[in-house]
Amino acid sequence: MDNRDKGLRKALAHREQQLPEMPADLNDRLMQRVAVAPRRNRRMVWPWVAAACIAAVISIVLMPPRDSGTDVTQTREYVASNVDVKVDKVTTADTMKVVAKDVPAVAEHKAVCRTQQVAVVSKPQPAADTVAVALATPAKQAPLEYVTEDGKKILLATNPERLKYTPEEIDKLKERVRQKYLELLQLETEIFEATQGQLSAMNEEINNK
Amino acid sequence: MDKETEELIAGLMTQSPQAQQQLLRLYGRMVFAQIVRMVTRQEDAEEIYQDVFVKVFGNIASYDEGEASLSTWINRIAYYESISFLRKRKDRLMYVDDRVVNFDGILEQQVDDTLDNGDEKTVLLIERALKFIPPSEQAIVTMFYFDDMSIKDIAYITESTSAAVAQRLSRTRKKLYHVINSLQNDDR
Repeated sequence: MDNRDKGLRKALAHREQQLPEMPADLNDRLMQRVAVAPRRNRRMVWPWVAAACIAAVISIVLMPPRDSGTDVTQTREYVASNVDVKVDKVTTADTMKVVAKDVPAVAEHKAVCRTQQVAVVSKPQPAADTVAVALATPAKQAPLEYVTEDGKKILLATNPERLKYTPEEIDKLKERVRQKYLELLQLETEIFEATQGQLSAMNEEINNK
Repeated sequence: MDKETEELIAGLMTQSPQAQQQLLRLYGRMVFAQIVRMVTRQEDAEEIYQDVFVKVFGNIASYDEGEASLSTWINRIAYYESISFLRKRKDRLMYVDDRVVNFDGILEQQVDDTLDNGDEKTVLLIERALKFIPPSEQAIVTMFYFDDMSIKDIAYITESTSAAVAQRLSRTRKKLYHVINSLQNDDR
């Protein structure tokens, strides 16, 4: 034992003697308190709750809700609801318009006939690309607007692609589009006639029952 | 760790009342003395005493025999419960701050000569000077000089390092010397 600082040791010993003593019943009181106190439930719930909240936030951030439906789906539903089972009341032109909405082949000539609005296009066209022309027959075609300068007819450059072609080339393109569209109509007519046959057979079965 | 202590800890793990009473018999007085030298008021010391052993009984599973002995581990809980109590109480007693003491200007020899002087007058002066030292430093000095604890154990109790405890002891001795000089000047 270190004998240094004798004065300090004496002072500390004297001080300790003056401090209050431990009561005799203190331990009994403590045991009573321990006996009465409920045992601590060691299971902690809050970490699990916190983990569940974090997992929910992560799942929402990483997996956002998907869209409920597409325009094509809605269009198909519209087509299904508008096709009349009684064949004699359905006109060819009306059916063409309705059926043609779902024809994917329309997309093939979309790039070529950007200058002309086709009524059977399935997706809505942006406003910048829309030109107010609907082709049913050449006679019903609305005239393109020309702006004349020095007596020459030029097309409105609403679409920059027009500037690539001369007026003669554009006329040829238009003729080609018209021919393609007629072929499309013929194809759709054949589809309609085939469908018509099936529908009439179904009608006969229903009527016979 | 001896067999008796192992059996005692095993009983405490199962919350055995007999083991708990045995623990209180072995270490109760030591803990109460540790608390009351810092807190001084008996009612407060009794309350903290109960809190300490409730914590000991509830956390006995966290005791690591490799770090310290069971008594040292209990002392640590008692020390920190007392410190927490004093912080909540916002002790308004004035203690000598480190900033007012010129530690570099005080020679070790001067401190040794003063604190080693065992005459009654000097011992009384030292006892008065101890009241101007913060409770945490009083506890460290008492553990070292009165309880004869090692610096390593004191470092564990105060959650410090041995070097920090040694430095703290040296500065506290110089602070005592400074206060004793001030008291002597006031008495003249």
